[in-house]
Amino acid sequence: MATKTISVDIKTVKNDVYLVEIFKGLLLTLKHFLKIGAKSAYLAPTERRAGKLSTNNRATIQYPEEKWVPYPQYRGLHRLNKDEQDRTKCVACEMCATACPADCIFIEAERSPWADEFPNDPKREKHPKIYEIDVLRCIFCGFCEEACPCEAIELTEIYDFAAYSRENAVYDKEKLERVYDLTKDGKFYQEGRKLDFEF
Amino acid sequence: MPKIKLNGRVLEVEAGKTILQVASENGIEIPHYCYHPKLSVAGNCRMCLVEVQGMPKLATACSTPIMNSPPARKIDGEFDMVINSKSEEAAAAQKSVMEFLLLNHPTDCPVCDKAGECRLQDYSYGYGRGYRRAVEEKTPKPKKDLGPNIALYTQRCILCSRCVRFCDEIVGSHELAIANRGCHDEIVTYPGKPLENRLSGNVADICPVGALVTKDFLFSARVWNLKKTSSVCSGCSAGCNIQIETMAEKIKRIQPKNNENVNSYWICDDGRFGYNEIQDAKRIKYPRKKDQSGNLSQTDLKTAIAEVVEKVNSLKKIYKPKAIGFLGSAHASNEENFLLNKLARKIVGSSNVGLRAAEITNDEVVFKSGFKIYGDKTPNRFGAKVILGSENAQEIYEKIKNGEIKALFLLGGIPETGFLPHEEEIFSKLELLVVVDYLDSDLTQSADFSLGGKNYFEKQGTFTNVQERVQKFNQAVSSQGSFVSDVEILQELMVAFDKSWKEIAVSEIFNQLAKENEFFRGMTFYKLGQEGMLKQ
Ligand code: SF4
Ligand code: SF4
Ligand code: SF4
Ligand code: SF4
Ligand code: FES
Repeated sequence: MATKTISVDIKTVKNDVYLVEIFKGLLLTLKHFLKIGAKSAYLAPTERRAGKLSTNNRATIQYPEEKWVPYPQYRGLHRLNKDEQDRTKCVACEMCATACPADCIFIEAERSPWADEFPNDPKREKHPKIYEIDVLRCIFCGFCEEACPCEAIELTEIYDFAAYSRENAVYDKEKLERVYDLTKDGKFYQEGRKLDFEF
Repeated sequence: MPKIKLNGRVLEVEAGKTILQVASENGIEIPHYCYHPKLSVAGNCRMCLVEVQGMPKLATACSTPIMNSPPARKIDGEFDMVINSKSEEAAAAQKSVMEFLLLNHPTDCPVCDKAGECRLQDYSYGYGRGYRRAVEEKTPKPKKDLGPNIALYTQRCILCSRCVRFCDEIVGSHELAIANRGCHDEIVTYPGKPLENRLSGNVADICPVGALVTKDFLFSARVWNLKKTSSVCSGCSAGCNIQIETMAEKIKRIQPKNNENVNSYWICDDGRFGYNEIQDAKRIKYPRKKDQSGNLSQTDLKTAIAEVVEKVNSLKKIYKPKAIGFLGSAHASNEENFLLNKLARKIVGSSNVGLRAAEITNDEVVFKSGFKIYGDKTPNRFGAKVILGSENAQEIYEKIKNGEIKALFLLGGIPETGFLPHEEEIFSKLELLVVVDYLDSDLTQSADFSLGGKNYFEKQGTFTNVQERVQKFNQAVSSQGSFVSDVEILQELMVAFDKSWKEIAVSEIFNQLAKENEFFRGMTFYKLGQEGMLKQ
C-alpha cells in the first residue's frame, strides 16, 4: 500500500500555544484531586447502584463486612432453576455439558417423577438424576447458560464461594437448587444472605 | 454399461442399479429416509428427489434405475443419463419435503435419544429451511409402548415405514402397521399383540428419527458421548458383528455392525440386551484359595500359582502326568484354549484334554430373511474343538470318576452358570481343582484355587463361529478392579511351570496358533480385519 501523506497546518495560533491544552488537563486532575474529601465524590459500586450517596467518601469498601453487589450480567456461581411447583426445569439434555469448554458438568438422566403429568410433552419426561458442576474447573464463561434450551442453568451474582475441600467445590443438584432459592429474587447480597452449606 | 453423469461426475455403472445405490457406492450423498439397503423400496418419503435430464418431473433416486438410452437419444451424444441432486429444482423439493416432515414434528431434540445421529436433524441442517413458517398448532400424539423392549414417540415418526417393512420382510412377523389417515397416521401394533419378536431391537436402529427407541437405552446417554468399539457378540455361535458403545467404562448399548458374511445389519435382542447380565454379574475380585476345612480365603496370583505348581508337581510324581486333566471351554477364545492346550500337552505332558461347553439348546430360530439365532449358545465351539482336538468333556468326566485323573484345570467363561449338570458330584472326587473364571459361582466356590479372569467385554481375542469364520472381539471397557485376564493367568501358569515360556500379547498368541494349527494356517491377527477370515 502506498503511504498516504497528510498535510497538517501547524501555523495556527492554537497549535502554537498548545501548552494551554496541557494546563487545562492538569487543571482537571487538580480539580478531582481537591474534590477528595468533598461529598458526592466517589461511591462504591454497591452504593452507587443502591442509589445511595457516599458517606465515608472512600473509593474502597470494607469487604467482607460490606459486600460488593455485582452488576446484573455478572457471571458467578451457577444455579438450577425450578418451576412454579418446585420441580427442576432441567431436562437433562446435556447441552450445557456438551457446550462446556472446561468439561466440568456431569449429568446422568432418568425418567422424571412427574413424567405422567405431561403425556404430550416428552421434554418433562426426563430429568437429571445426577447433576454436578465442578466449580474448580469452571471458567465461568457462561456457555452452559447460553446452551440451555430450558433456561434451567444460570449463572448468579454469587462470587464468594471458596471451599475448604475439593469435594465441597463440586456442586450437586441439591446445592444448585438451593442457590436458586437464595438468588431467585436477585437480592442475594442486598439482603445479606449467605450460602448455607458446608464448605 | 451405461455412462452417466451424476452431480457432474462421469461414471460407468451397471444398468438396473438405482440412482441412490450408485450414488452411495460412489460417495455422493443423496438424502433419503425410507430407503434401506436390505428392505424393499417404498419410495414414500420423497426426500431423495433428483433431477434427471429428459424426465418431465423430479424422480425418486431410490426407485429410479440406471438405464441405457438408444444411441440417437444419448445426452450430449455420450451420456445415457444425466442426474443432478443439487439442481435448483431438486434443492427446492428437498426443502419442501423437509418442511412437510417437520410440520407436525415436536423437534424435541434436547430430550430425544436419536439426537446426534438423527437424519431429520442432519438433513434439516443440510437441506432444510431452518425456520418454521406454519403457524398452526401441532397435533399431539402421545408416546406409547409397542412391546417389552420398544417404545414409540408417535409424534416424532415421519412414517417412512422402514419398521413395518422390517417386520414384514426380515422377521416375517407382520407385527407393525400404519393406521389412520393424514396427520393422524401412526405406527400401531395389532390389538393384544405387542411387538415382541426376537429381533425387535433392530427397529430402533433403522428408524431414521427418534420415534422408535429401545427402553434399555432410553435416557441413558447422549450418543455423541459414546465410545464405540467394534466386536463380536458372544451370545450364540452365530458370531454377529456388533458395536459396543460405552461411556465412563460402562456399556450403554450394543448395536449391530454390518457384515454381509455374517449378520447383515441385524442382531437379536438376546445379544443386544444381554450385556446387562454380564456387566452386573457377581465376580471374583481376587484369586481365591480353599483350605482343608473348606474355607475360602483371599490370596494373590503369584502365591496361588506357586502353590498350584507345587501341588501339581507332587501329584505328577505320585501318579503320572496324565493324572492331570484339562478342560478348555467353548466360551473361551481361541487364544485361551490354545494356551491351555499348550500347557497340557507341551508343558505338563498330559493328553487328557477335553472341551467343556453348555448343552446346545433347542431354541434355534430362522427368520424370513434367513437370519438365524442358533441353539448353540457358545461363541467358540468350533474353534475350541479344532484347537483342543476334543469334542466334549465326557472322556475327562469318566476318567475323573474312575480315579485316573486327580487334578483338573478348567476354563470357565459360561456367562450365567458355574457347574454344568453332574459336574459337582464328579469334581468332588478330585484332589485339586483349578478354575479360571470370572464368575463367582458354585463352581468357583468349590474350586481349590480359583484364579479369576476377565469377562468378555474386558478382553480381546478371537472366536470361530458356526460358519467356521474366525473373527476378532475387542476390549470395550477396562475392568474396574484388579482383574487379570485369562490369557495372562494362563501364561503366568506356563511360566511358573516352565521358565523358558515368554509371555506374549494376544495378537502374537493368535499368530503362533496360526503357525501351529492346520485350520488357522495362513491367518494373522492383523489380516482378520473387520470381516474375519475363513479357512484358507
Ligand atoms: S460457565 Fe462455562 S466452564 Fe463453567 S460450567 Fe458453564 S460452560 Fe462450563
Ligand atoms: S441445564 Fe439446561 S442444558 Fe443443561 S442439561 Fe439441563 S436443560 Fe439441558
Ligand atoms: S427425531 Fe430427530 S429431529 Fe426429531 S426430536 Fe429427535 S433428534 Fe430431533
Ligand atoms: S417409527 Fe421410525 S421407522 Fe417406523 S415409520 Fe416411523 S420413522 Fe419410520
Ligand atoms: S428414499 Fe426415496 S422416497 Fe424415500
